[in-house]
Amino acid sequence: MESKNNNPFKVPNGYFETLEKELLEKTKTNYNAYGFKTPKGYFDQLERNILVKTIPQKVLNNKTLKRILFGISSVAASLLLHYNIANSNDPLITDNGGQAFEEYLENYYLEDLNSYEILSMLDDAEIETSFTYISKP
Amino acid sequence: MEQRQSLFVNALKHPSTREEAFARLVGEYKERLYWHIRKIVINHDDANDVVQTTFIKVHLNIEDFKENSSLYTWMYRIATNEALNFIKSRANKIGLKNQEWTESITDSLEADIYFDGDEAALLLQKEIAKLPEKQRIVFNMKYFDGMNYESISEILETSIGALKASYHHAVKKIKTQLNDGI
Repeated sequence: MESKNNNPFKVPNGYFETLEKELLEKTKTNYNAYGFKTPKGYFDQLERNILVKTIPQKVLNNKTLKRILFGISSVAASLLLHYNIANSNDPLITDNGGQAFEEYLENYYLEDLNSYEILSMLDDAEIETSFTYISKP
Repeated sequence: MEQRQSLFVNALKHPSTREEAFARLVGEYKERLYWHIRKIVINHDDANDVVQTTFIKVHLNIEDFKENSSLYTWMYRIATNEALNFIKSRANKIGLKNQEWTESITDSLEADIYFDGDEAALLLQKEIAKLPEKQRIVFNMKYFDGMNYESISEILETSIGALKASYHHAVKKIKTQLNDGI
């Protein structure tokens, strides 16, 4: 314990050394914010959201997303329309199991899209039910 | 320091320790990465999307992390790229250039419930939004976050000389604009 100049009040040992550090740490968020705010309790929720998405599931891998897209009929329908428009001289071949269409999707259409653009083609329910966790051996 | 990082990275890569290590990583970096991203994309909901994607990408790609840079630098790089890709994607959708999209978002800050900066803070954000993308990011990292040029150079993979020039130009433009506005 420290006592100076007959001051009856005391502080814990090393208090002032850690005070500055603690204050800077506590005000760091505000320092970074410059007017920007977040909802109350946001960072606790954020941590939970991230962990829920990473630990039980593996998501947002474009290759996975592309595979998922093949299985979603509503998206396939819109892509089919795009294919037909873009390839009006070479209409969709449906009697070969849609192989040409899948190749077109993989090689030309989805190749240029990022995760956001692919995800924007799905609704929340589709996203929710489409991603399942496959643990690595 | 490097040894500690290596041990931590090993924990992130090993299936038996990955979950616990990743939870620690999220706890340690969530706020720093969020604020870095927020200053680039401006809007809270967008920053929320991007910061989550960033951590998910870190999780998915940690096995490929070669430790050529610090974990912190690598994560900042992913966050920066994700934020820029996000802007590009959103701007493309409505036929705007990246900078036009950023300026339009900044113009609506006054009505944003998650922005309570005073008039000066608002004016500063509007001027920052007018900067070219690279200058804007360098300015944010240097001015708001107080990062040194060495760290920024590693994250943005740009020479220190080029960064100094970017920052100098950014400060000059903002000063000129603010002086003209007063």
